Amino acid sequence: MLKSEIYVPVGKRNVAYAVTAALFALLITKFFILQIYRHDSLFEQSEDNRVRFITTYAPRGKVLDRNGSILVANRAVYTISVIRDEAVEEEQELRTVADYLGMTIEEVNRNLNKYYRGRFLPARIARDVPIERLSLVEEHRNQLPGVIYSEFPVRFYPELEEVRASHVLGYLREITSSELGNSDYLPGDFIGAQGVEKEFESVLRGEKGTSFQQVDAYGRQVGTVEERTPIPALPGEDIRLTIDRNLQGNIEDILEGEIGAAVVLDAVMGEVLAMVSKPDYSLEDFAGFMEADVWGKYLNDSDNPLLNRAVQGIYPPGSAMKLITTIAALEDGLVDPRRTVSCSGTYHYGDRDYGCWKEEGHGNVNLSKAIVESCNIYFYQLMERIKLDSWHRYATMFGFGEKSGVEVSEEYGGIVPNTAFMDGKYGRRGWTKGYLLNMAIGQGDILATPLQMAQFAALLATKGEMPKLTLLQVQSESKTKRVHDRLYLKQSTWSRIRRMLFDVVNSSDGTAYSPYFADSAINYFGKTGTAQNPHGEPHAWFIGFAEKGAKKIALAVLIEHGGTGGSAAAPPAARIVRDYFRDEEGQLTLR
Amino acid sequence: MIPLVTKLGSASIRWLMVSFVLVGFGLIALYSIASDAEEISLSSRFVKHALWILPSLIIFVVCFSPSTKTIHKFAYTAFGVGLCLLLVPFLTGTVAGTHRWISMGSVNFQPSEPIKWLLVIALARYLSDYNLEMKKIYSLAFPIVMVLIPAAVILRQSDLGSAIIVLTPVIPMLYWVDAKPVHLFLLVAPILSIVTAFNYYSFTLWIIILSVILYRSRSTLRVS
Repeated sequence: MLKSEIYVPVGKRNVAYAVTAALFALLITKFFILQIYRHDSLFEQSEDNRVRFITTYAPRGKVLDRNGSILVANRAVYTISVIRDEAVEEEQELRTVADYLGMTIEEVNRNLNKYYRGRFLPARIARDVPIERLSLVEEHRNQLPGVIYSEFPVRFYPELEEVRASHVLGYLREITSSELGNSDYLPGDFIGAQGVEKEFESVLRGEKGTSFQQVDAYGRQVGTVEERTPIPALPGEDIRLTIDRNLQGNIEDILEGEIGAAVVLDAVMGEVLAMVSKPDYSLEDFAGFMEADVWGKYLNDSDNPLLNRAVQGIYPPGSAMKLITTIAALEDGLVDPRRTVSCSGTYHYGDRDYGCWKEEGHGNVNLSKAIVESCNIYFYQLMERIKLDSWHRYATMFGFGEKSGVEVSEEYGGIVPNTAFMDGKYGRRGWTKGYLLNMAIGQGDILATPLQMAQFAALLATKGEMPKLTLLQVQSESKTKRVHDRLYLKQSTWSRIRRMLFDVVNSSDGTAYSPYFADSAINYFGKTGTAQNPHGEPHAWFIGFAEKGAKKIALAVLIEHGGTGGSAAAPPAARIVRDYFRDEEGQLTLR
Repeated sequence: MIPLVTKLGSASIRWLMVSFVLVGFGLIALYSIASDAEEISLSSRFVKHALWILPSLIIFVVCFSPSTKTIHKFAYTAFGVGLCLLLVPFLTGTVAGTHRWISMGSVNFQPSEPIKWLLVIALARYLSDYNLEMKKIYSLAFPIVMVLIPAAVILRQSDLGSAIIVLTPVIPMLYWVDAKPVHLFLLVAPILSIVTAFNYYSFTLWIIILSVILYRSRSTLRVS
């Protein structure tokens, strides 16, 4: 026999009965009070005191350019939601509302399941509802208990006709279930997916609020709840970018129809004045709720407009890297700038011939002529004297091989090979000095982004004093917080490089000669690049900087498969510089 | 195995009545809060909820069928399975922002519901199997731990109500097996202290009662 079946003392049993009876008495008393004694007053209250919690969405912060022009603002769209607990004949209601909204019942049910968070919470079934359809639903509100509408802020681009800046500004997309995790986002919320929208998500997003509506038993709004103060939505903070809308828009026009990128920096402040990647996308397509076919169109576009080539495109830098080779040789005392090398168009090293872009050769070239006319043979021979790791050290000093840290989360760091890299890729005995000759002229395994190339030009312009790059405009005193690791080179090296870069664009022999600047007050410097690649025509590069008074800008222009740097990249670069300074002086009004 | 009819016949009518009266209370409450209660039909909310009585009755009969010995034999196993089920919602993700439910398509199952009675059965077996010296305070330790584990897990699921329900039966059960009332009083005293602390008068009254009880129990509580 189990112990539980043993006789229980009467006293203890009576206590159990007494306690049970007492608890029941309590329950019955409370029940009597609620169901009978206070029935009338509670019934009356229940008719109009149900509280509905409505989420109010916070408008995201605006995005302004450096002069305060609004690049991104907000507008409201209407969404329709269903609170399942308040729906009486749910299926019938959903069919009716689907009919009013011009949707199929399958679409409505799919959205209902996707955004369902509980019986008492609104689940969004339709978005971006036109006002005429919303009116139809509202007119029949009495037959649709539990169906409510709300405003939802989406992005709006007031200057889209003048400036797109798609890749800089980025877009929002609906949060995925994996991102929801333990975050305070809700299904259906929008989150920054690219550009500054993503980078400054926490600043821009703001905080949702809650309003309390008093509704009757049929879900009809009968007023606000006086005892509960609404929690207002807190708008996100505005941010001011360093982007100059005039310059950005002008470059977008100049590069229209090309596949490439251009970056312009304020070399003194380290600020990104313009960052253009072409082709780009229409921000309006991403402003609210994107349709699947539009998204598919972008994904399947072979020109890849979603790619921000300025920071995600990695290309062989071509002849601009001759400057790194020059700097390494000058700093380590491995070159006499006056010594000449004979260029016959080819150079035999090991068991193969290395060519110059000028097949008939440059004749006798010294260092200056080699830069100005971009002679490959000179640099093949120079590289023979430079150790790979020394060359790598100078390249990384100028920011190659690592992210610049500009506030674009998608930035790539590129590649600058060193001995460890080459050993890892080809094996310790798998590569020879011959591999390095190509690197001297920016070919081979080295890869860089247009932003890195512009940063390189800016460091040359400022003799290594430029602060770290930023897209966010801050008070000038904060500039000290962004100090780049100061780059120390011999004064003679800086001067020599500067003089050679000046000649590239101002000497008639220069690969980027532009007569306009010879008669201008603008001091313009630069270097072309023509990067061979196995996929077709070479990529055309131009990097440079320009000074006028205290103003100093640096830029990089890349045209994918554009041909030579001198013919394809230098002309748009010259136009960018010319227009920028004319706009600054009010001689030309861009946009 | 005793036939079900025989078992039902020998069941304590008073305790069965208690159960059905509670169900009756639930139905009345449900009827009064359903906004569409006036129109009783198969699609009305009241009927939809009330229909759950049918599967509940089936489960009642199924649970009632096994003999006491069978229930005794599998009490710990069932409790162990119940504890494991309590952890499943932490692995399957949140439902409505909490870890209370195991989602099974259109039906959500709340494992903290069966643990309420599985714990009572397991605790009953423990308290009846051994000749525990319930007059000694240390004998209370294991039953308390047995109760605290599921309560802590349920609390972690963000379900304070169920956690309190899981904790509550241990007091009458310990009383049933001859635990000293003063020991049980000491168990609930901290909770009562917290509850009364929000009001000056109730807290003063509580302190007076506490002092009187402690004074009268001084010989029982003396540690030698």
